[in-house]
Amino acid sequence: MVTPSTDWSTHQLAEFLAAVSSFKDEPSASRGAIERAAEAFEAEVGAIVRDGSVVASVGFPARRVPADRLVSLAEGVRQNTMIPGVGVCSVIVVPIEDGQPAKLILARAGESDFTVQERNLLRGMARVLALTLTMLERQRLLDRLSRIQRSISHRAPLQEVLDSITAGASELMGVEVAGLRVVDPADPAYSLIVSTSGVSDEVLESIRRTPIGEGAGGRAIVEEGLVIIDSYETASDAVPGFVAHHLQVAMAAPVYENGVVAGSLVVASYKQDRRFNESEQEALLALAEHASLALTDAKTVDAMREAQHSKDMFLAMVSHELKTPLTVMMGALRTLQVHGADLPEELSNEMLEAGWKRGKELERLIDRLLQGARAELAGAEEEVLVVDLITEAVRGFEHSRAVDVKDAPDVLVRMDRHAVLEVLGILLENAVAHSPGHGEVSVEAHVTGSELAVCVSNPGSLPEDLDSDSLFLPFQRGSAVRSSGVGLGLYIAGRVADSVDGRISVESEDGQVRFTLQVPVRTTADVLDRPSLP
Amino acid sequence: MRRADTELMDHIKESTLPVSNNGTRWMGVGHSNAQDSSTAGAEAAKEALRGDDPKILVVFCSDSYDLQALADAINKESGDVPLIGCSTAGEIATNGPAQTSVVVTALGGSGFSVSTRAAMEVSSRLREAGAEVAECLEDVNERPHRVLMLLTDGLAGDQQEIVRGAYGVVGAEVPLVGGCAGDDLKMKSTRQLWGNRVLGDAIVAAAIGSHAPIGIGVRHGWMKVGEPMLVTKSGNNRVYSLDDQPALDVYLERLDAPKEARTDPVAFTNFALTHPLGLSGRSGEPHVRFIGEANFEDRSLGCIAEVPQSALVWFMEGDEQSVLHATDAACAEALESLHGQQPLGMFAFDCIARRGVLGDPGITREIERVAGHAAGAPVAGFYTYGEIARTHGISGFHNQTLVVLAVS
Repeated sequence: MVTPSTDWSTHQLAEFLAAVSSFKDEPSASRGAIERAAEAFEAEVGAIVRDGSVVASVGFPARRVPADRLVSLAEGVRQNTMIPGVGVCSVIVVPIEDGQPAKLILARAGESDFTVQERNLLRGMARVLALTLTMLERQRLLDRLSRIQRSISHRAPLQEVLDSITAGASELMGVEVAGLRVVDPADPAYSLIVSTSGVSDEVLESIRRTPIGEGAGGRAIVEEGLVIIDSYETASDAVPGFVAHHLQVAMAAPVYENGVVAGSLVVASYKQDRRFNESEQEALLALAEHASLALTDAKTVDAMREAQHSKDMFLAMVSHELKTPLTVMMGALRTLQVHGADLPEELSNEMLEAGWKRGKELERLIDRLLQGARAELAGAEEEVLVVDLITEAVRGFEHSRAVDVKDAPDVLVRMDRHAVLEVLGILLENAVAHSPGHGEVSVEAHVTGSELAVCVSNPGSLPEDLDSDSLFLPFQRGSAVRSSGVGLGLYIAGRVADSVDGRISVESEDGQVRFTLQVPVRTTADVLDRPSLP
Repeated sequence: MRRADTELMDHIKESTLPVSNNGTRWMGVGHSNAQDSSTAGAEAAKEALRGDDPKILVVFCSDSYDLQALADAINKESGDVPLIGCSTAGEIATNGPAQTSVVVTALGGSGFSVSTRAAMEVSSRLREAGAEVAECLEDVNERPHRVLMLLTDGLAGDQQEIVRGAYGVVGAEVPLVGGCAGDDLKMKSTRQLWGNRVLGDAIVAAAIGSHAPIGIGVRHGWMKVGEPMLVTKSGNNRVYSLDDQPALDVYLERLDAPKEARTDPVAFTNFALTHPLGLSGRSGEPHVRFIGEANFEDRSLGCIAEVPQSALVWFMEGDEQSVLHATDAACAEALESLHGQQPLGMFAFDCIARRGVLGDPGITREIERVAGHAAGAPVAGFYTYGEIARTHGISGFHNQTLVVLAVS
């Protein structure tokens, strides 16, 4: 059997806790708290005042809350005052949370002051309210974060997701300004505003692009951590556009993209004495993490869309490339099957020749596709003379075009011969295909230290609409290119070179296009020093 | 003055003074126990309407009447003067308590301003509905003395929420007064009257503004029995456990309830009428909560208003002496607020549970005392399922209590 204490204040606090903790949102908890406190103290009126405004009140006629009076009561120390409609009242004011400007006020008719016991009880109630509000605030943050997560996972457009993050930051922290900055891709020394909430067009114009390191947002990018500027107007690193509009306080958290700082999420207020408490700091960090998630995810989505686009292009081109020779072959075979006996021998041979050529084209195309698929699979290293390697590479091209081997040293090296031959084959084929008329293709090779460099040159120029990096992406062909092909050659060459730690570069000058393959090799000296791995 | 209808006088005791008039304001009370609804309505209305310029009729009636016929007859008599009213668990008139009757009160004269409002389907939105009806106070704002009278469906849920809603609109400046409608203790459904409409699950309200003071007195006279208990589980107006034991068992055991009250719902309610719960308060009398019924399955107690979890409570008892002492105190408090003005009349919102303590002879003595305090001015009221009176602080809902409204 419980033996309850009959102490009035103990039970009032327990009742208050039970009542206030049952509310589902902050406004009803604030209103309910002030009502229950007034009921317990038999007070006629009560209010919660925060940041110079009345958050909740009880005991005043609707639409006639004396806000100014309550705000001045919250700041003052008067114990007795005249309350409209009630008369002379004894007043008690307690802080809702230590160090915070929010206050809970009660006024009771009559002049008898609140006792020490009552003061203690009200402080306890204020603490209960503060905890409840923190809990509800956390709940609201979680709700907002889960909405953002849903919009990310439902692939909402990036701008929509970012806007919902800035709007959420503004709403959750009850601030007038929120924004998201990202590093300017054109100049990483600056950041750009990409989403805002509560920023007028006029202010927006003045803060659209600001140097990295300026303002809370700029500093959060540099410092890669939470930044709070309390006295904004006098801060040396403030954004002038905001100072001009008397911004008082700003807080920013860094935003990352694939683990690299890419921007910052900023909240700010024009209200004097506004300070960001610990839970607000945590909330901003959580929202910034979600902005990071959204940016990273958007990049992934872009890549997927790009891949999807490439795949579609690939299918369109491959089907065209497969279908064209196949059509020629089928037509020739059908003609030979139906009219073979009646056709002149010369025409029959011509048709067989055409079919053969188209068949070879198909074979080459299919080989390329398969090579692409296995490009990462590097072969085994073997010893080879560079001169032999080059001779083998150009064999087969000499009948269609003059190929001039300018230099090929007689040096024994150890490398993945198969991979290098494959890359050189593609580079030579590319050179032949893109040389106008019968322009000469030249090859020269050098071994410098532990690197083999082979240059393949041909007359011509690079396509104007592709930069040198794009040449090595799949399915990339200049718009002026007339030769058939699906744009896989250089892509495959690049990937094969990668697989042996090599690289291919390209330059174009004086009417010559020059592709250079550089691969690490081991010379005989290296081999002697360090036995090859099994 | 209206012409007295001699035929009506058969139903009125000669000793009563059904009307009081001070020149610019008057209050008249009519009472009829005629069986026919229309006749009863007409008789009571005629008796009440003894002055010029009637501003409002307040009707308290048994739910045994055809309430539509009753309301139509009253409105016909008054010429559609604004009307609020409700069904009761017994009526109160100057000449004493009554059952299966109707009491009509009229307030009139240029010294009064009145506005009425009704809210329907309130059980799902008690607070909002309380706020809604309270808006009518705006219409009488020019008067220096005002009161908002609320007549509610006492079976519609936590009545304190209605009071909170109304208080949120009128604020501390204006007192709230009134009671919860009854149904002669059947505890099934109650009715509210508004104009010519008969409503259920409703709140009807009248904002009354006056040139002269209006006083309210509140007392119950119940006394704590035994040791206090903790409400260890409660919700939705029910108390599930006291000191971690099933509430019903603790209640029956501690109060040594008679055998029949332990199994029979009707016997339980009769017993509970005189054994309410008391809630500790900062000062003055504990707040009383009427226990209306018990659930013999889950062993919980059903109340008319919220009993907060973690609250400290006592069982309460009363006797004729304590209850009548409270009657005197409530009347004196109400009259004191008139600042020396003579009352035009008095309203009494008296909990049906007090009737249980006092018995029939006792309640006659109680109303005689009220009439005595009224000093010749008429008295009207009803036996309620809950009482509303907010004069100080913000708590305004009571149980097992007498609320007196004195109008000057």
